[in-house]
Amino acid sequence: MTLIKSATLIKSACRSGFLVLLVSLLFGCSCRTRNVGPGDSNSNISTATSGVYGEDGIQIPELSDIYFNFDSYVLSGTARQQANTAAEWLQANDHINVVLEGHCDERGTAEYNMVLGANRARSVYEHLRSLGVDSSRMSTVSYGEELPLDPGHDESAWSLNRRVHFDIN
Amino acid sequence: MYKCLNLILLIFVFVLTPCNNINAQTRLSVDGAGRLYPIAVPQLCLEGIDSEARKSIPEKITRNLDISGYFQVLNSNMYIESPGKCSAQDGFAYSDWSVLGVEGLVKGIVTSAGGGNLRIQMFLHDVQVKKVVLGKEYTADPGQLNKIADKFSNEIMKFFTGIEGIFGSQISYSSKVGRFKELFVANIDGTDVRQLTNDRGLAVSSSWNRNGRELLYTSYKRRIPNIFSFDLNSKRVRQITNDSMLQVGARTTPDGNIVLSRTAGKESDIVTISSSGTVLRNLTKNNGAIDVSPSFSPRGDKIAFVSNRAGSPQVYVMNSDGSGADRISFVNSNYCTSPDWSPQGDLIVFVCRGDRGFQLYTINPNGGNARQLTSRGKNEDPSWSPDGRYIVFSSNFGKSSIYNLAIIRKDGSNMKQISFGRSGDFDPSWGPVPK
Repeated sequence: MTLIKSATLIKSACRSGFLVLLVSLLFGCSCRTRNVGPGDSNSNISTATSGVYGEDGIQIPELSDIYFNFDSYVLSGTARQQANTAAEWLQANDHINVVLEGHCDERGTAEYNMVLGANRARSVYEHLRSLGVDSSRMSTVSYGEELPLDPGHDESAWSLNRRVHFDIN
Repeated sequence: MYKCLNLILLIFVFVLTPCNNINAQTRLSVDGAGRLYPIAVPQLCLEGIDSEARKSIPEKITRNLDISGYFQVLNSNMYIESPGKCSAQDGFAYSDWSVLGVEGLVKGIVTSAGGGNLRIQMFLHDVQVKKVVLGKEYTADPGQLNKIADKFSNEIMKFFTGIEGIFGSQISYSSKVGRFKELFVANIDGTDVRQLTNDRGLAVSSSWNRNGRELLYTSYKRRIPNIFSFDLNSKRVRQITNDSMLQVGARTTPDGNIVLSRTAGKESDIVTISSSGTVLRNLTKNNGAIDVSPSFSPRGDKIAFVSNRAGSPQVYVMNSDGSGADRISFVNSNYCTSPDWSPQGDLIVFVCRGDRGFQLYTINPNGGNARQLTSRGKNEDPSWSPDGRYIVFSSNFGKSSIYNLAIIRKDGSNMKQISFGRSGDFDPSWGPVPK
């Protein structure tokens, strides 16, 4: 497990470029990769290499996932505070571009959730823009309910899956 | 498999008895669960030839009649007559079948048609009146036995119900491969499963074009979801839309264009585009709501879709120019989605979320006569069969977190599981019956 993680880390670090690595070292964050999906460590490595879906890779604490209520794309008070922190970080690191990934829990309908995820990503995008983050540095994508962070089937999993994830790969 | 579609199957209609004098007719009604018609499908008689048709055709017809929800096929262990008996030489006795309580009997004779081809004569007997009531002769190469079984199954359905069956049609769906979803097709009895895409990505929301040669779907091939088409003959993939907006739920319209949901910013709309991707018309513009999952009426004059314009997602029907949108889903749920308009135009199937997950409902296009079809487990993503008698959907069958495909009659009877994968099968779409 440790071997896999460090191998992935090196790969993604190389891929993400020296700058990102430097930035994250400067900010003293613990760089880690996350194993997505159960029993899927092999595809994790190749995914990180091919970079199709940006779940794994370097994570910045200031850009932690922003969570939503069921069937909602409205930013809660906590979500706003998180987005404010993210905006400050992005303005202090204005060479970093970010993809805002919208995600949903499994309880809704897949097609509807595709759009719901897009709206969640857009809510964060608009909030960041209103705080002065240049829109050319941000793009959005929705994965609907298709790529849950937590594969469980209870509220604790669902609440983790209703989120916008910052991808800086 | 698809090259079969190109092969010409010669069909001669043998009118062995005048079809007007058929007494077995109309025992089955098209609507309502009713009584299952008891029928037997013994092994075929081989004359001067050896062929797996002897077993494979009756087995396939048995599976088909079982799926149809109209027949009870008697277990072959119960048959008195010796398997594969040729009735001509030693006389076959209707009493061997009537004593088992069987009312219908499917028999067949296989001979050589020369050049490696088979001549297969298929008969439907009415055991009570002791007569052949339907006969067909097929000439085909030995690779087409399932196709012949499907064609005669469709004839049996037409004989009893007046409407041809759906055997030989296929179902497309998305299935989990690792953490991703790829596109698959399978026969409606769950056999002959084929993986179409291998994008290591998300290939979702598939639908068939009118002639059954192409699938439309949404793929995240290049990270951004766009609409693609998959040609089932050539296996060629064509990208139809190419922009940064979310595009999902593409379906062929009755006039040969494509309708889909497109999201720009927080505005998602039902849009029609040409088959080359040019936007033709935005039908729900500027209401600031989620509008998704369009399904045209077969006449092309109306569109059912999902909107959260009044708060929660509900099913609406509007005119095809985007005017006159009205909510039709009033079934005591704050979450109703996935409408599919029946090929006959008289019903819309959709799902609503209740205490225990989603259930299937049908409703008249004007919102009347809502009817709940399922009550057990979680049931999602319904799609009509081409004859409008069945619905395919994904279900957890009330027991696991794994979804598989099921079909059900439109009155909610005869639910059958048709896929048994362990990774999860989702979002089925029922294709047309091959000509």
